[in-house]
Amino acid sequence: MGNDAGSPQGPVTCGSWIRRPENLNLVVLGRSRRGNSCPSLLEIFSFDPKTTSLSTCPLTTYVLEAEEGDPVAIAVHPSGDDFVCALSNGSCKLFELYGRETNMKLLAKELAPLQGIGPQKCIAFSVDGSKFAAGGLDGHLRIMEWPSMRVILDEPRAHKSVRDMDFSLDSEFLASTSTDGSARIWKIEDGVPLTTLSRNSDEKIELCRFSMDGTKPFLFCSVQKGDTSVTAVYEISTWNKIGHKRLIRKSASVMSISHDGKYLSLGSKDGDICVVEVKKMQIYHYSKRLHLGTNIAYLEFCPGERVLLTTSVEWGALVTKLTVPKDWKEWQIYLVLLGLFLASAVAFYIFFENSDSFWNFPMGKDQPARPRFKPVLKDPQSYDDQNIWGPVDM
Amino acid sequence: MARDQLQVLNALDVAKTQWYHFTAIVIAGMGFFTDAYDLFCISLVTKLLGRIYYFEGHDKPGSLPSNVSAAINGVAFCGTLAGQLFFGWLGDKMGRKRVYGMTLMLMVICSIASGLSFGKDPKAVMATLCFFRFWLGFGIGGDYPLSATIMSEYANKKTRGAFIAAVFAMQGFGILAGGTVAIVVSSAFKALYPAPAFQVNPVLSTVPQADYVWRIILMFGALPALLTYYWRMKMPETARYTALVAKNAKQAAADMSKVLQVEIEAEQEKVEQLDTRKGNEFGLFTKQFLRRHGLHLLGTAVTWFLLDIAYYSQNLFQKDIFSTIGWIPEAKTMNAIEEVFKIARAQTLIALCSTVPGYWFTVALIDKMGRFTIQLMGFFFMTVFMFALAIPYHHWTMKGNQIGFVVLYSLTFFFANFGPNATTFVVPAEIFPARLRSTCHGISAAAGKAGAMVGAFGYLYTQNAIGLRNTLIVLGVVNFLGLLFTFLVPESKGKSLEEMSGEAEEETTAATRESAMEAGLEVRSSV
Repeated sequence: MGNDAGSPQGPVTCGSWIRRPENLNLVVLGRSRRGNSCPSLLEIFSFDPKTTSLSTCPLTTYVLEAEEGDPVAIAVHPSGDDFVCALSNGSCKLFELYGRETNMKLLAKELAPLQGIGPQKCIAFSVDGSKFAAGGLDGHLRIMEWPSMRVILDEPRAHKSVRDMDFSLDSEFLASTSTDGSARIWKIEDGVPLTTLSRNSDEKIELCRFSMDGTKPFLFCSVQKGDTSVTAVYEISTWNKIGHKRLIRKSASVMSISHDGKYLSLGSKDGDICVVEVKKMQIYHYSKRLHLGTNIAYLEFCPGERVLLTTSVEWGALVTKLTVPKDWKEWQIYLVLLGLFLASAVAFYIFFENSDSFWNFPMGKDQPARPRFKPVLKDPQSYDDQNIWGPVDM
Repeated sequence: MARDQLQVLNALDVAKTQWYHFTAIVIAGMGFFTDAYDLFCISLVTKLLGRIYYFEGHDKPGSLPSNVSAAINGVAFCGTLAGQLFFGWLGDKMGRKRVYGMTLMLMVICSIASGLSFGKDPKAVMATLCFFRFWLGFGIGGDYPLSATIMSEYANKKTRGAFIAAVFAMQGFGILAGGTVAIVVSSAFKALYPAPAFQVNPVLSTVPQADYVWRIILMFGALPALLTYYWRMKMPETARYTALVAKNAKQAAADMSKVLQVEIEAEQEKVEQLDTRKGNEFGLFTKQFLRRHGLHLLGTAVTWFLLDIAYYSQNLFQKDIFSTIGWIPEAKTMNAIEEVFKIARAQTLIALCSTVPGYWFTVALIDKMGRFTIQLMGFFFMTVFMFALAIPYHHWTMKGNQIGFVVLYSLTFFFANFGPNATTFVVPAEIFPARLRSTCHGISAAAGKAGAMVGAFGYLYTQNAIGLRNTLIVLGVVNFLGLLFTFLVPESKGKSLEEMSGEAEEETTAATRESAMEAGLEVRSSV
């Protein structure tokens, strides 16, 4: 569903997946104003995993007022019930999703601590949904408890200008990068800076994402070295750099990690995307010029499916099915188990048929308490009856 | 609902509410509880199976032949070994979280099925019981490492030691629960269906309803498995770096460095030290490992093997020992259900007074006394008490001396749990290099499972061949060998994992670079 030249809608500026109950995934898109006839919008679309496409009509639409400006960034709470949208007028608004998919509604609420704070480049929720962070174009960094909005960190001069940020899997750290190439790590519980990532003088750390795999305690950073873009890996117990690798050919503009932590994705300023398996740091999917010649503004893995959502101003929102190895399905494992079960059943049966000597059952007609049906219905006097131990003529 | 789930993990770390910690302990420990119940409840009902299906005549009650008894008791351990291998492979392939539902459903289904063992003649009942016990063990084999994983993942960062100890102690409660269920069921059936003793009336002493007793006891094992499944489904996916909790961060970093280009500047000052540091980069089947850790691995594997021979044979066949010395009355003086009741009561008393307290003593003292001392002391006293039972064996069989025998026998259980049963689980996770830690722990655990199979299958044959007194002497020798092999295992109390396994900070850094070079990656310097 790209934009046509004649489409009355404004360009897509931001978007995000929304994970709903029963393995349902929605997409929220933010559109900016175009002229006077097309107002700024927030639209909710449903995602069809069978056709790997978004619905042609939005489930619901919210029209932003003129003085509210355009949507700049969207952060969805992990519960999937609400999301925060940063607006170009310098405020953030909370939107709650109501109703089922057939009659969905968006309800807007004001967030008092986030009114008039200036344009925010990045906003994010922690993985457990208990923290919210906002990084401003003016370099002001805020971390708050959610939903109480208690201030944990309020640092006006965290950066020259915030470029990117991410919460760690355990919500213990926040990594943030600046437009001047520096990157800092914040200890969330104490609300203090922990360290600055080491880099060479010619390196600019631009993007950062924490690993989502519990067995890999790393921070992945996109680093610009001259006109080359490489992905560096830092270890989060010592914050030392482990190494780096060149993955995407042009400068990276956006980075994302899959929800299970297996894949890392990069989008470039020329519209390329690549998907890397984290364990081997090997490229498993590369789409050249997915957004032809346009900077990819947003990129995110679908929860539960190997699908990417990407947005750009020129080409709008696209969903891309990834050509990565398929994961084992649950039913395939159950099939293997069932096969093993039946095979051992056959083996046991063969043993059973050929193993009279093993069981050593005594011969004799007078065995007591052999299993039989409905013994409670027997008359107690029948214990003396000799027929109780033999076949009963019905 | 999702929001509530997500709050649980946050609360676990902040440690504000005790309810969350209790919930986490129960959820993590239910796996061990279920495993212990299912593995040991079979020993409570084997006598009854013998009475029902092996009726031989009018002079003495029926009992299972040695090979059948060994098969019924031991087939679950064969399944445990197979399940551990299968689900370990599967967990590596698709993540452990996704397979724990399967292991628990397998345990539920096979618990119920083993109680419903079918067929129109006794041979079919026994064969299908063995079949379903094998698959129950298969599920348990898959569940045990997963319970350990969940234990480490949900441990609060601040109180990790106490958490793990409490979870581990759930094993003792599982054994206790098995005995309690058997007592309740057999008491109920004894009251509902009175029957004369065997010597009064051999045929009527086994009421037809006795068949339900062993089935109910076995099927009850499905209940804790279902509870485990229900509670684990309610917990959110893990959201912490298990590598940090399990102190495997260096291993993870080393693995990652193999697939990346490593900056040479950061390593420049250590290039001249490479030759002296090479000793740290060795695989499992190398001379360096053999020289440095070979004896340690031998020690941990053999001690676990020897412990499980003694531990499982004593656990599974203690009722036979008690009958032989007369603490449990002679079989002919009881009816079938009464025998189940007395066996369950005896075993539960042993668990309550010895097994469970032994766990808690270890919890309280392991960091004060040290693992080496606890294991040495445990094996020593197990040896002493076993010989104290065996050498004056004739004395204990005399009327009125049974209590002394039982006290000494229960003390071997106490010192097994306040001793090697706990330390053999802890030590292999601490003394090997990070790179090989899980492999070495797996090898030691597999040796333990092999010991359990030897104990389950070997005990009855030994007793029938050489008598109970000599069997006890053999177990004493086994414990003594365990004591000797304990000297191969170093003390790890109070030492960091890096110190224990000989890794220092600089060595790891150099090793990281060298492993990158060995992987044939380009070591790139920027101008």
